[in-house]
Amino acid sequence: VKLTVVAGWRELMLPIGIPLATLEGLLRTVEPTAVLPQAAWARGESTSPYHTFLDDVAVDSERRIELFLEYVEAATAPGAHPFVVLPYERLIPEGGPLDARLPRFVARAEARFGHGSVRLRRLEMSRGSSELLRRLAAEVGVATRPASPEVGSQLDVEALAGRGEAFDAMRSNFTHAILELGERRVAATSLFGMAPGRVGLIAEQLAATNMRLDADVPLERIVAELDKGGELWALLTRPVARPPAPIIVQVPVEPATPLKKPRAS
Amino acid sequence: MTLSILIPHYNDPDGLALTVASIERQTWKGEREIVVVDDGSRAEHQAALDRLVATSRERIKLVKNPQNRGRPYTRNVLLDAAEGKYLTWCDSGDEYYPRKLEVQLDALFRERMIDPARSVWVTCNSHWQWQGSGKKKVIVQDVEDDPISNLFVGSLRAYLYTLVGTTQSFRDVGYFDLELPRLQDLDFFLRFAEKGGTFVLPGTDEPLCLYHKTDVGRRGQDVLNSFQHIYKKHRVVLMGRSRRFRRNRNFHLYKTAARFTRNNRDLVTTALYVARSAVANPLAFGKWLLKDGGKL
Repeated sequence: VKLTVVAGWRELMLPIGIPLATLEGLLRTVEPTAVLPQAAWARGESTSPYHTFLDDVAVDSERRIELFLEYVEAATAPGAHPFVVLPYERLIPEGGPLDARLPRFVARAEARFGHGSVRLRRLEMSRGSSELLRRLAAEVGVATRPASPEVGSQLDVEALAGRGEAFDAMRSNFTHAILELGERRVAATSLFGMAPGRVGLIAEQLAATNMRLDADVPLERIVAELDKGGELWALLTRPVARPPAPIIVQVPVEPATPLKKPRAS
Repeated sequence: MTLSILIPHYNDPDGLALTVASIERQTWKGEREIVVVDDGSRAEHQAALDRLVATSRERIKLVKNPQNRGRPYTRNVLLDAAEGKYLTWCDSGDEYYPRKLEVQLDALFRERMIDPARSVWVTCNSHWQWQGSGKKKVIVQDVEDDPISNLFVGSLRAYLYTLVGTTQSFRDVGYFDLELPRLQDLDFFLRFAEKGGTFVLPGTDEPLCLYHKTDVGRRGQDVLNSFQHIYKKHRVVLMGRSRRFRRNRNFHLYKTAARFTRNNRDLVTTALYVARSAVANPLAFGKWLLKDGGKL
């Protein structure tokens, strides 16, 4: 395997981005030689730490991806294993189309590095967090993406679950996503209900004070809190201790769109 | 191979060790090779060179000229020996600062992203330090407007060690001119610019390398002859500039030659060159006397 592509749900990876140095530290707990090439040139004016160059311009994206892959190859020391993190897909697409960028990127990477030399992993905060968001979205009447297949790729998808420093930001984002969904449900007089759109600000304030929702809080408790017009205060926690290293769970995924196999040269 | 770092060497193993150590400290960790071409150093220096190659953490490819052939010939051997897709230079005894390769390769990819068809060299600001002096001077590269004029004027310095580009972009320029014992890099830069090549700076003003400068042992006559050879060779583009521009360049070449002879304690020739600079452009000469007090 010459490259590992890490997919992450936008809701859990953004808007509070995880610094790449922190993410690299996390990845090294599962792959000691992991490196995360930082393409500063590709970010332009964006403050996102991820490879948003794939977002910027729709035209000519094949060449841009190719150049980025060349950069990854060039910047990786011999013996190191490069990772690329692409938090493009939405867990809660609200009727939007499936995001084609991830499978497109993986297909180009396979064409460059050879069939079978690209591994795809999914970064999850915990085993239940994504499922909880899905169920909550259904509860408040928002369409969700089917749990599987998540990525239009013929590769196996692994779930990279764990806790640690990198997950603080993910938990803040998780809180943000819950609040955003909850905004549709809470009473008009509640803190969130009075002024739609305040969720982002409140989530930032919660993150600043180190207050986050527990990733494994039962859905029923969240719904009950929302039903009574509550503001989820009862569910907020401050992390006190750092649990141990991440764990990896294998999740088989059916291919949605077969990719072209690289032509023999 | 991703990057080749090309270093000519002649009788300076200590300087080369300094250069290699600065490369070992680079934050850019991609695959790279250092190519050293020894230009017929004395036997004891070659032995020291062999030891350095054997003990370095870097992958060093050593090529030896059987006899001393001069700097342009040695640069051509280096250019032929490079196996990397990208290429940079450093002279033996000069130093890279740790972020140099990372920052410049980043900028090179950015430029290729913007326009893949354009031939680009990423230069950088640098430090000058006269040998024996503790004081560093920041050399700022001007990549705005016309690169050819900037190269003639010296606001864009033709220093190979400031560059990173694709190997192909260097080979497209051709070989270094063997008729130029000095300033072969200025000729090389001019040819690149005349072919439509573009110079860019990385996204930082910080100096990325250190040039330990000396004029000692470098003949003023060689400098003067090299300047004249270059001016003749590039007369078509030079004639496209104003008369004032050309007169200023003539003044500058005699003044530069005078600096070399002065630094090599040849005061008679220095006086001759200063006089010729006055004839070449009396107005510029007068300004120089008034402004700088005739300081070379």
